[in-house]
Amino acid sequence: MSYLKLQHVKKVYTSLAGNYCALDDINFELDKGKFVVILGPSGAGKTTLLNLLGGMDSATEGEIIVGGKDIAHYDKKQLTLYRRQDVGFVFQFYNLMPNLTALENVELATEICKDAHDPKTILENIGLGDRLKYFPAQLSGGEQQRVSIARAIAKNASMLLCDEPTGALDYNTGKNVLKILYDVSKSQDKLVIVVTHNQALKDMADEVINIKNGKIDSIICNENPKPIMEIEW
Amino acid sequence: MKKYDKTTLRLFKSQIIRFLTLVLMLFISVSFMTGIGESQSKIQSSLTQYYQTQNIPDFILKSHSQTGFSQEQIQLLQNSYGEDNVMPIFSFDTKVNDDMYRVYKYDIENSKINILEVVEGEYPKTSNEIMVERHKDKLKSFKVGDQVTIMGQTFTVSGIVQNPLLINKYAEPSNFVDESLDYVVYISNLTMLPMPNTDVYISLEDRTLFNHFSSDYKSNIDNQIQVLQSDDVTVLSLYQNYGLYALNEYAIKVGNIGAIFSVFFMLVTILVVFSTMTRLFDEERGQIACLKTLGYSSFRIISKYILFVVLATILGGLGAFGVGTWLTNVLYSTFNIQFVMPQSIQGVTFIRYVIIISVYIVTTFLVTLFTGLNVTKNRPATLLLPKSPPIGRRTLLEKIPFIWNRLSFKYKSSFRNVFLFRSRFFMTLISIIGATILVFSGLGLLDCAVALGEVSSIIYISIFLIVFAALLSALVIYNLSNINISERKREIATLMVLGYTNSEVTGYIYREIYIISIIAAILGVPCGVGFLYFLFNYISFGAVSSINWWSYILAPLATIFFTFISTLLLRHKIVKTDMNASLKSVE
Repeated sequence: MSYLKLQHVKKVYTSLAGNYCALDDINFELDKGKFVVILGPSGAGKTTLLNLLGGMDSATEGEIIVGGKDIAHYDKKQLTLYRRQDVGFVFQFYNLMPNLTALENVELATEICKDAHDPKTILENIGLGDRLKYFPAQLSGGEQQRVSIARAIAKNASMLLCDEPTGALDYNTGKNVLKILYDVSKSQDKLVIVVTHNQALKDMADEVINIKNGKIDSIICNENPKPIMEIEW
Repeated sequence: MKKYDKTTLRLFKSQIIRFLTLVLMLFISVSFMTGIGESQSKIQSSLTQYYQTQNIPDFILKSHSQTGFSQEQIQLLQNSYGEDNVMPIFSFDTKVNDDMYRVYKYDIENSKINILEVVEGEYPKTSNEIMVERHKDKLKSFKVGDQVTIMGQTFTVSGIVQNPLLINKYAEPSNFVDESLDYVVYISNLTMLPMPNTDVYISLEDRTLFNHFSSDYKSNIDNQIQVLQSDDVTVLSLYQNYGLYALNEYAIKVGNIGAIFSVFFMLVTILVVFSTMTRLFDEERGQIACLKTLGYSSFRIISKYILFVVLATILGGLGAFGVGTWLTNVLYSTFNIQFVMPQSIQGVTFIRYVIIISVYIVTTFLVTLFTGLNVTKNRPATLLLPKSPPIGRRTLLEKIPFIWNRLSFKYKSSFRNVFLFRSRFFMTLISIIGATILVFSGLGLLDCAVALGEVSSIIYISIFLIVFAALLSALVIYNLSNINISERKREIATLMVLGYTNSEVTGYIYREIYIISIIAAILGVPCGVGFLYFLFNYISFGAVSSINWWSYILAPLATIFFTFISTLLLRHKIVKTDMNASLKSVE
């Protein structure tokens, strides 16, 4: 059985202006060790999907099975625990605590979960061994994103969710960040899901899920993904 | 509507809590300042009016001679003061059935000096009718129609009166009697002999000179006492009157206390406005940068925030008018406990009120203008970056790894926030210390008033002070906590996404608020003692040693309690933080 399985997932936002269906009948299955790209134009429902996977929101209908448990209808407390243990997040704007050093930012995440990796080792592995005591404001964008990735990895969660992780970075730095994420999926057997609108990333992914207007347009499996360094955009 | 005006509307909408707390703070401050400030004027003008309408004598001459004042002496006084301004009186004390009576014998109805206020009944119509002073504390009285026998003559009480010279309810009507008086009666027709003129009442021709014991009046009175005084004549002036003079002294005391606390209220209010606006500008850096790149002038950008502040000041000030007037009236009527208060001056004086509001408008305007200019002078590129702690700066605690390494990151972060953003920390700290000082001073003043057996004036002003200081303190703390939370929306959202529970997140955010608040509560006490020391010297009343031990505990506890309430009220704001919206972009 796959690590992640979505069945007939639907998300409807209710507001005074009426109902808005952001996701409709989403079905797919993903395994650990895969590097997956969810691709789609703005407003297609990518972020909604990421929010559901990340336990930041609950689905209106359907099942989201993660590691054998259906999180689709978890209550707030269960979702909090889920985010704590089972997912690592990487954001477009890093979202580091400005008043904590790089090391402390990673500790912030590991302090509250079981079986976490050693924050210092993770930062060293990601090439930030000499930046441990730097505050985010003293780090470059790429370094901040690496701290953010280190934070997600250190939790030792089975799934990493990345929302436009290269969106605020320059071309080369972006490539480096993607390579790190790709390597994590392989070396640590994690399911890494990257949400982006950047078409160029589809060639490097094991699987590409195309989303359009809240529905799955196509799911493509790459038997031989291109190495990230060969991709250009 | 222009699109820019829409951003102004949105500012009010998104910062509604901040706006309302500003309105309320200004409301409290202005109410207190006008209410207390106006009390002194109201008491003093009412006193002056009373002096004029009742034609209160400026001197009471008392003769030591058995035969009293001679006709020649009275004639001489009439020559120099005017016939209508001199009134001879025969007064004596007599015991009737164990009760001590003070009898004043003169033509009550036709006297033009020291006109008695008829409280009940009427002036005597027949020769066997008399009037009696109303009941006050130990002084007893009769009912209209009662029969009273004095010196063998039986009289009927036709009316109850209030003697303008006897408005203090607790003090003895005269300092010449050892035994306390039970009754004071006024008789026009007494048939006994001899009836010497024991006293002479003199009122000055110029009734405007008094002007609630003005300095001109004082020097005039002092000069004349020299002239009037002799071996067998004692001169009493209104400065020896337990009622009128004491009331005026209380009014001055209230005024002085009010003035000092008004300055303090104002300082705290302005400081909080300053801190609120500085932090609002910091939060809106991104938007300001955007407007700047579009070519909006600095003043145009700042004008929106100035409108925000000035409107809050005006709204708070407008509301304060009613409460201020009410406060003045209540304080005025609390003097009825100790005094039979003269009828108060009707109508309201706007001058003080207008001045206070104008001062507030000008200061809040300037504060916002300068903080605004300080932000808008930066280049848009600088403004687009979020404000970060000064690079490389470490807190003192970090240099002691033994302690620092044992702290969890939560404490590390809180300590850094508290100590690295120094100006923000100090502004918050000083505001809360100020609020603590105000509450402590109110309590201390109350302790002294109680210890010194004060009845009306100081106890009530202390109670009002405590109430207003507590309200201001609660608002200051609520406002600063609210700002702290809205500044840290992104941090809150990040923690939530990382799987921090509601109580862990609130604990993280509130730790900082509590650290500052506890430091302020503790520092507030010694600062408050210093302030009271200064205040007691200034108003020549009270002593630091009279402050009860519980006031030292109650004041800081109040600060911590207000922090607790504020954090409780604001908890929903943290818990309801939208994780997605806050994480989307750098604001």
